[in-house]
Parts: sequence; structure tokens; C-alpha cells
Amino acid sequence: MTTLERLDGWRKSGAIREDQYTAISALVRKDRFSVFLELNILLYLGVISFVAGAGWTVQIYFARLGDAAIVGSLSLLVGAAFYYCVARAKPYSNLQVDSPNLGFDYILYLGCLLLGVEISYLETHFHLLDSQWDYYLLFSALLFFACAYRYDNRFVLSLALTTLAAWFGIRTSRFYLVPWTHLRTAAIAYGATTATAGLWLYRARVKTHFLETYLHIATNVLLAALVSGVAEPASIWFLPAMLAATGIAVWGGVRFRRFAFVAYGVVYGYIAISIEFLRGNHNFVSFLTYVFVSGAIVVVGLILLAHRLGRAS
Amino acid sequence: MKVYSALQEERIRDRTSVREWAASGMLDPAQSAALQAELGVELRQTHGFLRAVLFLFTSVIVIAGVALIDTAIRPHEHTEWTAIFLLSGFVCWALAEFGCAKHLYRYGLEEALAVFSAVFLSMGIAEMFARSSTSENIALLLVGFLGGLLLYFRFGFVYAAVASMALASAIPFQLEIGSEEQRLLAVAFFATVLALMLARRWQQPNEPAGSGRSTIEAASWLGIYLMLNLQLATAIFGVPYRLFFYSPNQSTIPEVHAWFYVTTWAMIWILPAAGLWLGLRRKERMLMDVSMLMALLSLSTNKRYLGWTVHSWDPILLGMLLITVAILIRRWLQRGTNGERSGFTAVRLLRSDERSLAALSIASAALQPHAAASGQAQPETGFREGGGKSGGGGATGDF
Repeated sequence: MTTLERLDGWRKSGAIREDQYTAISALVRKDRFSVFLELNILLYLGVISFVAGAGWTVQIYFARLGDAAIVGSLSLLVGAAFYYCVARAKPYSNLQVDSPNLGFDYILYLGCLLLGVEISYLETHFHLLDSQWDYYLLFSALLFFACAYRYDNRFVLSLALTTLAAWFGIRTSRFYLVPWTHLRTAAIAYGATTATAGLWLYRARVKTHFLETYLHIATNVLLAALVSGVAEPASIWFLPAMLAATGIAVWGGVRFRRFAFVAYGVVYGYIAISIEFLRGNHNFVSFLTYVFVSGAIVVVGLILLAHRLGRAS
Repeated sequence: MKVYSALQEERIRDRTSVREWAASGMLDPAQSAALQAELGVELRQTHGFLRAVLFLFTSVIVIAGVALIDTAIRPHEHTEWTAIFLLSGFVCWALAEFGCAKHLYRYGLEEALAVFSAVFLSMGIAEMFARSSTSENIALLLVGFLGGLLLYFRFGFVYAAVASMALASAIPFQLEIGSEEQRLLAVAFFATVLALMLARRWQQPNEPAGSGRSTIEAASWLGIYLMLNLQLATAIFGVPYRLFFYSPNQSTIPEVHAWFYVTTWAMIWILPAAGLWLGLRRKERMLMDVSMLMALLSLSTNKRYLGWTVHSWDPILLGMLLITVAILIRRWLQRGTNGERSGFTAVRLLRSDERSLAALSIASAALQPHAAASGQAQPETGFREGGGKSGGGGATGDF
């Protein structure tokens, strides 16, 4: 039986209304066919390609073109992008706001990325902030956050979150001599701060649809940092902290039916426990036995979890 | 022969559609629940992420289990290895069948077992031909191809069919023939699959549920393209591609006749155009998307093909072209009646499009044009490649 035949049956039996049948059957017959996603991907790839080319060109021709030409042209592009966004933007709302048009989000994203290129060029050539140059990152991150919230743009939010991560990494590096230690500390601080900020904004009902972006990035950074702490036994607290974090990830994932977080919790948690369990073990057979048995335990646990979630049909 | 009946596949397809329509606001929650109940089948499914984790851990168990057997037996002879691999393959197959008998459907568990059964059977048969590396490779690829087909026809795994096509197309590259012949044989294979798919479409216009026909057809187009784009293979793909698609002693840029080179250059433009035309005509999303990918690859490799100098501003031009094309198409569609032309619209109709876009925006954190910063970036360093290193916006740039 085809989907159309089934739809027809539902219409005749009254399971769906006539207007619903008309709308859905048009999609099934492909009388209406959306290329929304394809156009968005073209725009995204276009922006990425443009910025990569701009960075490459500036790198190769900076001596020939001169500072004025580079800074001037980048400023012009950034200014035009921001002017367009300011002129065309819909009023701010804490709720999700649709873009005024398809290209709007990508023009803002392009402007933010080019601004990053320009700031980077300025600092490298003029050393305006000298040893405090990392404040450029903080400034960029704050600007990107402001743009992401003002114009409701998830691409710019991701950009802001990664720029903030870079600032955390550089800032904390000044207090530590061991590179891994500072990176881990920075990552933990960043992960905790980002997750807390995302949850706080969610509770404040400000752009609640942004929460998942915060949590995906924060969870991965935090769990990866904790795993590295377990691997390099820097403190006895890493394992309990790791177990608590994976527990929260799995619990939250199940509770709110966001199963990506269950996957993060299981995979990172398994790696951390395995590192601890196999520490000092040099016997290949016992290693394989551990992998076999522990893998089976995880599979059984997941089957029970999936069973409980009731996706049986 | 199939584990799942056509009725089950149809119900699963339609239930997935009902969920999507409900998420897109086309059905009320109560209607959705009632229709889904009506479409119930005695099969157990799970969420995509849990499926992926189950696949991963089942694979880990299988590999560890076979490695344990190897360490216990310590095989030395080819026959011993053959026996271990074949036995492991049959055991995995039996367990996959058992999983299906317990009503698992795309659960990750039975998928990993079935995939590894094909892998082990291929390795076992390849061991029989281990006297020469060429015959071993051919045996491995051939049995892998047949195993993938078996998985597709028995369990309906479309990805297994696509993987089996890739394996089969690598076989000519193991033969001691010219590179043109190798490529033409691989193209002939993909073209045969494509012709079979088109013939099936002619006989049965409605794609049977779970058959993945449009995916296999699109993969055939892509396969033909990848075999014909001579510059792509050397410019973009690295070692894994060359491992199977080039003879060990062959140089990275194969010597070909001028006529062949020119023909392939023409084909890398004809294929995307023809695919896009067909995809748009039939409103076949997979073919449209693959054709767009082929067109992008052609644009990216065209200068190398013609021996022209690649400039740093080429990506800027490509970016401008993509942005302009997208905006023009959107405007052209919007100016049509009700924002549509021939049924095509730039408006989002289904919620899944928004979810895909949200996923892309999260993934963009890792895919920005400037790589993530190291904490050690020093502004005093000289101008280097990258256009600014930072997690975002290149603001830590070390030009």
C-alpha cells in the first residue's frame, strides 16, 4: 500500500480532515517540494568559502596590498553586512524570531567571521593591546553573543561559544606551566560556565531554543576535559566528577528525551571507567576480557534503557 | 528472503511520516497518536543516537571476542585463520538472525552483528587466497561486495548496498591493466547498477518502502563521477582512497591519453547537469543533492583540470557564486504564484528541515573556516596561513 492510498483511507474514515489530506497529499505527491534546506546549505558553504578565501588572500597579499587596502576592504564588507542586518532586522523578542529573509542569517554570519579576520589582522600588525591581546577574543565573543541574541542566529551563537572557549584557553594558560593542566582547567571552567549560562537563560525564558547549542558544546568540552583528567591522574576527584557528569548527562538525556546526551554520557563514561580499570594492566588477554565483558554490560544496559523508554511498536 | 515483510516496511515508513507531519503541525497530537497506533508493527526500534551507541559497543564486543579466540588458539597457518574468520562470520550471522527473530529493527545490535558477519566472511575467504596480495585483495573485495549485497537483500541495510558498490568498483584497480581501463571498468559497473535502478523504476514507479532505491541510484551517479574526475582523486582524497583505487606501484597522477582526459573533463560537467535535470524533473531530493555536490566538486577541480593557476581568491569567487545562486533561486521561487514554481518552494514545509539546520549550526562550531585556536597563539609571530586562528571568527589570528 502506498502512502497516498493510506492517506485516502484515513480521509474516508474521518481520521484526518479534508484540509489536512489536501496539505499532506500535496507533499507526498511532490506537488509541493521545498528546497529550503538545500538553499540554506548553499548559503552556508558560500559564506565558509568566502571567508576562507578572504583569509587566504590577506595572508598571501598583505605585503603587496598594504594595511590600508586590507583593513579598508574588510571594514567595508563588515560594515555593509552589519548595516544590512541592522536595517532589515525584525524587532527583538525573547521568543524565536524568524529571519526576515533566507540570506539574512548568513550575511550576519559572514560579517562576524570577517570581523574576526580583521581584528586578528589588526592585532597581529599593530599590537594595539600587546600582551593583553586575548581581550580581542573576549570582545569578539561578547559581540557575537550580542548579535546571536539580537538577530536570533544559531550559527553566530556557535561562533560566540567557540570564541569564548579560545579566550578561556588563552586566559588560563597564563597561570599554569603545564600545557595540559591549563587546557583542562580552562575546558572545565568553560564547560561549567557555558552550561550554567545556557540553563540560566533558558530559565529566564530568553531564546529557549538556544539551550541545546549551549549544552551540546558544553557537555562535550566538559566530559572530554574530565576524561583527560582521569587519564592523567592529576587528582583523585576527576573520576567521581566524571561519573557525576556522565550520570547527569544520561539522566538529563532520558528525562528530556534528548538522546544525544545519553550517547555522550555512555561513551565518555565508558572511556573514563576503562582508563581507570585498566590502569597498570599490561596483560592483553585480561584487556580483551575486560572489553568483552564491559561492552556486554553496556549493551545490556542500553537495551534495558531502550526497552524502558518504550519505543516498542 | 527478506527478514522484514513489505507490509512492515510500509507501516514503518508511514509511521515515520506521520510523526513528521505531526511535528510540522499538519496533524493534531491526538490524530498522530491514533494513526501511529493503527500503524503498529511487531518490531522494536530505538532512537538514532541509542542505535549508534548500540552499534558501536556491539562492534567492540565482537572485535574483542574474536581477538580473544585468536589469543587462545594462536593460529599460525592460513587455514587456521580462515577457520576462525569463517566461524566468527557464521556465528555473527546467526546472532543477527536471532536479533531479527526477536523483532529488532534498525536497533544497532543486529546491524553490527550482520555487518561484522560480512566482514569476517570476507576476511576468511581472502585468507584462502593469501598467497599473493593481488588475489587476496580481489577476494576480499569480491566477497565484501557479495556480503554487502546479501546484507541488503536479507536485512534491507541500504548503506550495505552502497558500501558493496564501493568495494566492487575497487576491484578493477587491483588488476594489472591501464588506469583508463581500470576507471572505465569501474564506471561500467556503476552504470550497470544505475541502469538496473532505472529499469526497476520503469517497472515500478512507486519506490517500495525500505528499498533505498533513490539512495542507490544517487550513489551510482556519484560513483561514476568519482571514477571520472581524475583531478579529484589526486587533489582531494588522501591515502585511504589511493589504497584501494590505485595499484601499489602507480604514481599518484595516472598517465592517460589526451582523449580520455578531455572526455573525463567534459563528463565532470555533464554528469552534475544531467543529474540535476533528472532530480529536478522527478523531484528526487537525493539525486538533486548528489548532483549539487558533484557540481561543487567540478567547480573546485576545474582549474586543476585545465592546468590553470589556482588563486587565493578562487574560494571568494566560489563563495560569491554560491551565495548569489541561492539568493537568485529563492527570489525566483518567491515571485511565482503563492511563492512556488512548478511545485518548488523556498519555504520550509517540514520540521525536519529546521532540525537539520540546527544540527548544522551546532556542527559549525567545529567547521569554521579558521581552525580552533591553540592556547599558545602568539601575536608576535609572522604572517602565516589560516587567516586568523581562533575558535571563532579568527580573532586570535596569527597572521
